[in-house]
Amino acid sequence: MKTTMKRLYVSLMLMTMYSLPVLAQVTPTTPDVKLFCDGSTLDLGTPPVGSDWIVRYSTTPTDTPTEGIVLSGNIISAADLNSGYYYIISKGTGAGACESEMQEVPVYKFAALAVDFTAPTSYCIEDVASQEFTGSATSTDSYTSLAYQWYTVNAGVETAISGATSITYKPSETVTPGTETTYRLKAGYLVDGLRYCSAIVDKAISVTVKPAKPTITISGVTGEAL
Amino acid sequence: MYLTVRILSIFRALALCLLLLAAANLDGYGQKIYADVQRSGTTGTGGTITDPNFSVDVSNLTNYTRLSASSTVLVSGGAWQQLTFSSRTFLANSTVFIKVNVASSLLGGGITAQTYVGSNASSVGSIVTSQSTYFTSIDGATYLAVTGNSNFNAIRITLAPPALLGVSTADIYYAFYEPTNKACAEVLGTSVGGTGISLGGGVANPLNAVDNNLNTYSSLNGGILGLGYTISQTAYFSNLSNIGDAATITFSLPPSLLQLSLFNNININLYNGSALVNSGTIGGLLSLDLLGLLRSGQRYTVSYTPENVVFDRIEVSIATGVALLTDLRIHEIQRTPAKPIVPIAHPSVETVCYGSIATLRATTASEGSVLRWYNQLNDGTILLEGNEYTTPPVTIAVGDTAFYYVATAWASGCPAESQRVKITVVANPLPTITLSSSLDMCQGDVNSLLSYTNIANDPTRYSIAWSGSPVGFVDVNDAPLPLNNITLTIPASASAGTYTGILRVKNITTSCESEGIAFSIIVHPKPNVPNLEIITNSQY
Repeated sequence: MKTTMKRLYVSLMLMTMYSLPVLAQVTPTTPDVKLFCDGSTLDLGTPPVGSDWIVRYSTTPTDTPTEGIVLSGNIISAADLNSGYYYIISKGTGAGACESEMQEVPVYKFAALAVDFTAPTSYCIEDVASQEFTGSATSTDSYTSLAYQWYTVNAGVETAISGATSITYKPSETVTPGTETTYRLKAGYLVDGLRYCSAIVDKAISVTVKPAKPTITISGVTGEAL
Repeated sequence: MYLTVRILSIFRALALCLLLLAAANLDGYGQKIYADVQRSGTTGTGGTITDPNFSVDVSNLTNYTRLSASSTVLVSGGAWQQLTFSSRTFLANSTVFIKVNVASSLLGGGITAQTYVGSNASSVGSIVTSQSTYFTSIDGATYLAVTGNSNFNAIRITLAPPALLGVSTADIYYAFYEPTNKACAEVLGTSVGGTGISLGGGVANPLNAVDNNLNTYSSLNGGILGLGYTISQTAYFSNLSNIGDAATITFSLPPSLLQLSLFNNININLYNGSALVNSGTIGGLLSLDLLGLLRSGQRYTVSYTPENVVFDRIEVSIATGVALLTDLRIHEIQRTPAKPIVPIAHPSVETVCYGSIATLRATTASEGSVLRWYNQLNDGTILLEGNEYTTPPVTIAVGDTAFYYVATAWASGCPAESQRVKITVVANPLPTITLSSSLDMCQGDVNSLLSYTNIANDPTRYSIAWSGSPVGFVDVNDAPLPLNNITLTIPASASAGTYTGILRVKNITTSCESEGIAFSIIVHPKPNVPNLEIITNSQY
């Protein structure tokens, strides 16, 4: 009997917990979310004639946002732009003018990415087959779906290396030995097939030639005159 | 035939009714009943009667019968006339008045009056013991007031032969009796008297006390010697009072320092005929707050209502030797209805709110009388005749008072009025607040705070009446007044525009409500929802 009561109590507790409404935080896949990179600002543009913007913020959706955002002009500053719900209101500038109903704008701000890859500063063309550059991306963001693209950069112009979209890259065997190539790894957050807030890292890697066949005259033992 | 009889019956009934009405009019509604039968004769030799029927001719009351008496060396003779009321026998202690014109020297005994019972045209009847006195009327004529000790219906006036050689005459105009009624109490005249002799005492201008003019007065001077004696003035009325009627005395004194206790030496004595039936003092009718008025020489009216007695004479007497009351001025001696009964009479106060009307009420204990309202103690114009007087809005300052007065008078339109009873009205201040400037709110909002400051006179409740009864706006009645702000409830459906209302605050203790405080609230339209196109700029 006692055990039954305990089970019933636990069941009720679980039911209560699961029945509580869960107010969703904004994610990159939240419908109608607007994605921003760390350090970005949000420019609301010019308000309707004779009115100003009023912006309020909440981390979760609400009908009564209370946290006001101070605009810089019509811009939400980088410091004030965070993941969450922004409520945009227009209000006439006249005395006693009213606030409009709110436009809710879900915003997701990606954390800054740091990208790197490991590769030798040079390798011998003879060893090209064994070369593989290995990228890495570090971020504090909870969103971990990333996309990669390897480039070569020549005179500041990057050229995507076709098919090089994984975190590792095997350099081409056709690279002319004796040359130096700048490789770039660009990584970004991947959302619905699109990439956002990328970061890059460039590294110059030389390919050395295979030394010529040495011509070595080996003086063997001279025949002795026996 | 039958119809003729019926018509005759109806006419007879109507005639009987008219006759009864006429009789009632003669006997009970304020009209005098005159002696209508006379007998006359002489005594001794030398007396004569001229125009004996003139004294019973009510068609001309200015005519008179003249009795002449003479005394010569050889003979002397007097004359008499007996005036009979053929239709009435008066009860004991009734008083009948005879208007005469005689030399004042005869009033000491040269002319006498005697009542009779059973008198008619063919019989003098029997003598009834009586008392008589005389007084002077306002027009200077003399009245004899004769009171029978038992039932009587006639009075004989006898002119005795002069004590000295010569001729004396007595002109008899008429004799009348007036039943008690609720018409104006007619003062026939006045007499002065007193007990003892006070040096310098007496009554000056006695007729001024019965001339129906409150601005004139007789002066009762008590003199400076003769302590314990009295000086008096008596007013004679044409009939007996109703039970509950008041003796109303209007008096003043020369401006002087006074003490209220001095008025205890002024007596009001009421008589039924020659019988004293009640006494009181003026001092018992006065209050301390009148001293200022009396000291300044203004007149004051008191009404003294005896219990369960009727009277037809009012005597005001002053004890002599009371130095400070050596000159009591009697402006009028009147008989009036009892003074009004006022539920909230001075020094109690009727309290209203500042700017409000006060409904003052009084009743009269005297049937057939009306109430007259004034805003001053003496003189002034009647504000209203009725039981209830509504004042104009009372706008006296806090701590100040407004006074109203109410007196009774017979409904027949007599000028004579009772003492005016004072009613004091004070005003409680109105609570007030000061509202902030006009309110603005947005369409769809349902609450707005109406803030206020400058609270005065303890408002604790408020009411709001919206002007024009806009749809969905609900008036507020006597709601508790919140601190600093009143929350206005606006219907969410209210369209944009300006709405006005009247706010009133109330002090629940005094029930005084402020004047209406107008306010307005502007409901502004809401702008459209922003429709921003925000483009994520981080795609590559």
